[in-house]
Amino acid sequence: MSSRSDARRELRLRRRIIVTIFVGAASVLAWRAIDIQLHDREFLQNHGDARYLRVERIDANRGMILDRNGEPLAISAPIHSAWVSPDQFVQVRSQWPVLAELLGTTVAHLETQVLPRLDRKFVYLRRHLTPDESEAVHRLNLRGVGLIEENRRYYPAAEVAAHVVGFTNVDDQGQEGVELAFDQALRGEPGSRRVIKDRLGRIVEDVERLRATRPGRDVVLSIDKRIQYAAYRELKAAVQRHQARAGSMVVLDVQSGEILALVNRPSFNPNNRSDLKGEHYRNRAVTDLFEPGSTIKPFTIAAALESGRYLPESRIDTSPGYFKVGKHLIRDVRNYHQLDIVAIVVKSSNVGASKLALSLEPELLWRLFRACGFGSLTEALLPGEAYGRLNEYRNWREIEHATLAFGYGMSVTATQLARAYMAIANGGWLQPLSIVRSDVPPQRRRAMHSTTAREIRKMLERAVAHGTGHAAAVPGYSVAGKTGTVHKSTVSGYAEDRYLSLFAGMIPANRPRLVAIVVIDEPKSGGYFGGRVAAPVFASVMREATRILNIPPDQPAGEPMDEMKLMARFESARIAERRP
Amino acid sequence: MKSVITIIVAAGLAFASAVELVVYRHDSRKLFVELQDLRETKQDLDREWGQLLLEQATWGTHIRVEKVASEKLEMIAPVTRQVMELR
Repeated sequence: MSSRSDARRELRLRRRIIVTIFVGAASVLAWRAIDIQLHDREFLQNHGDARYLRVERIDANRGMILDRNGEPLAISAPIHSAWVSPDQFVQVRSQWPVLAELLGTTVAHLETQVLPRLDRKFVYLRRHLTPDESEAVHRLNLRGVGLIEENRRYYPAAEVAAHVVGFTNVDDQGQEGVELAFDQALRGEPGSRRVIKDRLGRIVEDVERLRATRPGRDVVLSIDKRIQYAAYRELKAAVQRHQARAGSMVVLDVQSGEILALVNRPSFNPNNRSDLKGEHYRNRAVTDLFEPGSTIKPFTIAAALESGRYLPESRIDTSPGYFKVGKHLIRDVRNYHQLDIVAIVVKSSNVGASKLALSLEPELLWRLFRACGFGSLTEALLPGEAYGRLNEYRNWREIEHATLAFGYGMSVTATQLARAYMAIANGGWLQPLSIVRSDVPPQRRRAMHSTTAREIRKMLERAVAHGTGHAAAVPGYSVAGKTGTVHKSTVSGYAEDRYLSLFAGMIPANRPRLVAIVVIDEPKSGGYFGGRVAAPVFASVMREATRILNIPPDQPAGEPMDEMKLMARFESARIAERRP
Repeated sequence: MKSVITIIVAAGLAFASAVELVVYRHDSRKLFVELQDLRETKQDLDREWGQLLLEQATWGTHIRVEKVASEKLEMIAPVTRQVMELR
C-alpha cells in the first residue's frame, strides 16, 4: 500500500519539476522577446533593413562641349573599368595569367596591384578598357573580377581644338581649358535613391528618391570649328615651313568679342595623352607673354592723334635714321627722312614712333595703352591667363618712354593684342573677349575716339596695300594690319638671332568683321620678318573664314559680271543642254 | 443587432481595402519593372546616340573631308578668277 502511495507522490513531484522547468523556459523566452522588442528594436531594425535596403548613387552625365554651330568638341561615352575583390580574386590564382594576357599586362604586375591590398573590398585593376577588352573580361567571368561603368571623354576635334577645350582626368574632372573653367556647369550633380535589392543584387523596388540628379549642362563655345581647323592647318604649316619653335593664332568676331578660333602649335591629342609634355599643353595664346614690337605702333599713333597735336598728315623728321636716348640708340632699317604719320605706320619707323611718343605726356600714352586693355585680363575665362606688363608712367625712364612707342618694355598675350586691335576695328570700343557663344551685347568702354580708330584703320590698310604687310592681302577684300618682328629678350639682353614674327590684322578694312593675330616664335628658316612669316598665315586663314562666314567681298576681283551677262550665259547653257 | 451589422460592414470594407492594397501593390511592382526597363532602354539609346555622334564627328573630321574632296573627288578650291559675284 505504502509503496503505491510513494509512487504517486513521486509522480506528482516529477510533474511539478517538469512544469516548473517548462514555465521557467517559457518565461525566459517571453522575457527575451520583450527585451528585443523594447530595448534593441532600433538597432535590429537597422540591421534588418541593411540586408536589403540600399542607397544607390545615380551619376550625372557630364555635359557636352559644342562649337557655335552645335558640332561636338567633347562628348562623354560610357566605358568599362575592371575591378577586383582581392579576397576572392586570390582564390583563382591559376587563372591570373589568362587575365593578365587579356589586359596586356603581366602576372607580376597583377600581384603588385592586388596582394598589398588584400584587406580591401574594391581595387581597380584597369580603368577605361576598350570595348573588346571589356567584352573578353566579361566572357572570362572570373571570380572576384567585376566591371563597372564609367564615363570617358572623347574629343572629336582632337589636336585642332585641344588647348581651348582642354581635357578631364580619369575621374571625369576638368583639368585644362574649358573643361576646367566650366567644370561646375559641365559636371552636374549626382542624385541618389533608396532601393530594395534581392539576394543577387538586382533592384526589386524603388523606395524613395533621396536627391534628384542634375545632369551636366552643355557648354556652347564661341569657336567655329571650321575656322578653327583652317587656322590650325595654316599655323601648323607655317611653323613647319619656318622650323619655328611654336606659334599661336587668335581670330575674333569684331562685334561680339567672341573668339572664333584660338590655336597653338605645338599641340597634343587629348584622346591619347600617354606621352604628353607640359610644353605641349600650354595654351600659349593665353598664357605666354611677349613684347609686341611694331604691332604696338598704331596705338602710339592713336595717342598722338588723340592729343590733338597731330594730324595724319603731320610730318616728323626721322633722318639720319637713328637717334640717341641717353646712351641707347634707336634705329630704323634705313634713313626715311621726312615721314608723315601715315608713313610711320606704313614703313614701320621706330625713330618716328619714338619721337612722337617722347613729344607726348607719359600719362597720355599710358592712359591710352591702358584703355586698350594692355596689362589687364581679357575676361575670356580661359585658365592660366597672364596679365601682361605695362609699367605705370610715373616710374618710366626716358628710354622706356621711347621704346614703348614701338613695343619694347611691355609684354602682352596674343589674346590681349587681339582685343586691342578689336578696339581699332569696331570704332574705338574695348570689350571683353568671350569663349562661349553669347547673344547679349558685351559691356564696352571707350578706348579711343571713333574718328581716331577710323584714321588708324586707313593707315593699317595702306600698310598692307603698300607697306610691310603686303603678304596679308586677301583677293577681293580690303585688309588692314600691321606686321611686327621682335628680338626676343633673354637673360643677357636682346638676342640678335632669335625673333618673334607677328601680324595683327582685320578684314574687311572698311567695316571690319574679323580681327586676327598671328604669332610665330623663333622662325629659323625662310626669313623671320613678320611680313614674310606671319602675314601669309593671316591671308590664307582669312580667305577661308570670309567664305565660311559669307562676308561679301568689298573689292573688285576677277572679272566683274553684271546680271544681264550672267542670265545670257545661263540661257545659252540651257539651250545647249536641250540640243540632242 | 445594429452593432453586429456595423461590424460586418466594417469587416467587409476592411477586406475590400486589403484586396485593393494588394492589387495596387502589384500594379506598382509591374509599373516599376516597366519603368526600370524604360530607363535601361533610355540608357542604351543615350549610349548609342553618343557613339553615333562620335562616329559622325570622326567621319566628318575636316582633315578627312579635305582629303576625300581633293584626292578621291578631285575637287579644288576656286581661285578668285573663277568666282562670280551675284549682287
